[in-house]
Amino acid sequence: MSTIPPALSMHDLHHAYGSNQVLRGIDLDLGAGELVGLVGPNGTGKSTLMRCLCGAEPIQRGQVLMNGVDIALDRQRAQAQFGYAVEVERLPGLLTGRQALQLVAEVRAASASLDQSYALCVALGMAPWLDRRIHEFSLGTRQKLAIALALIGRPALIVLDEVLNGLDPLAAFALKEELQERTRAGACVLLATHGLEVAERFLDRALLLLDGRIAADWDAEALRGFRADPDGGLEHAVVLRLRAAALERDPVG
Amino acid sequence: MRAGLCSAMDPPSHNPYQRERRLLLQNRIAAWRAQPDESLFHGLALLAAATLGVVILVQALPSVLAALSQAITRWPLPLLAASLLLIHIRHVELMRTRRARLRLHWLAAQPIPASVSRRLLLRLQAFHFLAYCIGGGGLLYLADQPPLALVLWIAGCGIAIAMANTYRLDRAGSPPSNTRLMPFAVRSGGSFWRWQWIEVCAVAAPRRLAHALWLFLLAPAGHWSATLIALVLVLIYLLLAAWTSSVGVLVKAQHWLHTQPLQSKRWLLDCLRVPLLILACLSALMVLTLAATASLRYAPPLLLGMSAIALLHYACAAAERRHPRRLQLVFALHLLVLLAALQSLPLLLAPLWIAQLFLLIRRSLRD
Repeated sequence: MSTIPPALSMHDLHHAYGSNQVLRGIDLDLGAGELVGLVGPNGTGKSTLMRCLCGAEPIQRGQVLMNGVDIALDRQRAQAQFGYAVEVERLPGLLTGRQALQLVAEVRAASASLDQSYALCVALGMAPWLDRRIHEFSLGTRQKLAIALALIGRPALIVLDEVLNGLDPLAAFALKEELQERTRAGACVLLATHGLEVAERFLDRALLLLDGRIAADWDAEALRGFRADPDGGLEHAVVLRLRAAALERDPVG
Repeated sequence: MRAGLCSAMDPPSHNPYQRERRLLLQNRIAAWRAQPDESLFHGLALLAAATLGVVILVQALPSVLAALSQAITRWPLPLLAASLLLIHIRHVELMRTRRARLRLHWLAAQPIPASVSRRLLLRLQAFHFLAYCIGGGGLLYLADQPPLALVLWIAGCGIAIAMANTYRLDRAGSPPSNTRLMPFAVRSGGSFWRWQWIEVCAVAAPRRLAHALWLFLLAPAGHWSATLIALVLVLIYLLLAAWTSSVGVLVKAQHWLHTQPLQSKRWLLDCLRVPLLILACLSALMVLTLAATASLRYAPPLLLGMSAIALLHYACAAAERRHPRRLQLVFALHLLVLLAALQSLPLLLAPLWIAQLFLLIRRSLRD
């Protein structure tokens, strides 16, 4: 009987910029149907981790498997199962939103699912902008387009970096609903965020990335516990961890 | 559980990068059609500029060909080696930039076969090879060189371009080059000229210097004039790179500081120090070179022209610092107007330059 591989699996993942070691050995398994948040202070390696996953940074040491496919060995097959919300400044300013959606749908051989993407655009409130050039978009509208591009073709693994930041409340709500629907259908979502309240209320699992390592891993039960505790909560737990780490680094200060 | 989710998929039947380019072209044409009057004006202006360029080129071509023919006869191999080395260096940089661009492209996270990117880079190499063969070969033919020179040139171009593939160009894990330079991390406090100075010092990076020194070493032994020319060329190359780098700070500063309560007049003047220093160095180098070759009589017009062009470039950069993409075009148009005046009404040259500078400075001082 064959076992289903994790949607995303990382083993001993390292990454450095020159002499600056950013990721120091990440070991992690994310299962299908999980809605996982990645939290942590600035400069701790969240975006580098995301960039390693999407191929913008090479895997220097360690292994990343997407549904059992090693991205270093077969990047194309791995990326076929992976939806990534590209940084908004990398979107092609001179294309229209619709053209960008059509192009990605063609690349993913998912033109048939374009209607779902347009429906998502309507839910996110960016439908009136679809036929305008991207350079005319506001930051939030670009963010919505990046999300819609990431979700084309119903990928089994969805990776989103700080996408809730620029969204209006209605769009943020629509996105959360969409992500929950995707995870119910079996997709795995990894969402990097600074919003600890969002992480506490909305996610099934929260990971704290600190100094390039996974410093804490709270499951659904722990998150439920945080929600039930009026004095504590995820924010309190994260702050305690960060203070302890700061004290460890600099005992005098 | 995971029904309805995608798994493995067929590779795309087209090249998405080419498809994107086609879409961009379609959008551009649509934009031109949407504003016919403006498009017609731009088209005519470009046509006039191109015509002027061709006229100047045709006028200058005989003397260039004569000088080229003479140089090839005197130093055939050093000249060939230096040209091929330059092509090689240029191509290595180009391939590095293109690969980085592909890695950071907005479609980079999509399942695009690696063969698509490989084909794209190969096509680029083939295009450059053809361009060098036609351009260089054409010059050699017009300079009455024997067929052997043409064969050597084509073979050399092929080798110089192919050798660029032997480098590991991805520089895995290295940050973008500008993140190494932290302009405001200077210990003695931040100032524009210090920032510019750091950027200028980065120009003298070992990699760049190594290339320049290779060029210098290729000068034929025993000919002091050729060695001097090579040395001067290396120094001019470095000084021009330093100039570009220091003027580039205007754009970066605008990007960083546009929300700060700083008067443009103050910081634009601050930013002028380092470029003026570079201009002084360049002028001194020119005077020394002309003195060494007993051609000092050319110094006044040369220095005047160089300073006028440099100041015009600085003014264009200051005026267009909010739209850096337009800088090259604006500077080229200003130069073309000056060239046209030089050809037809030389007396108008100085007032025209002053008027251009005045208008550019006025625009650059608008906060």
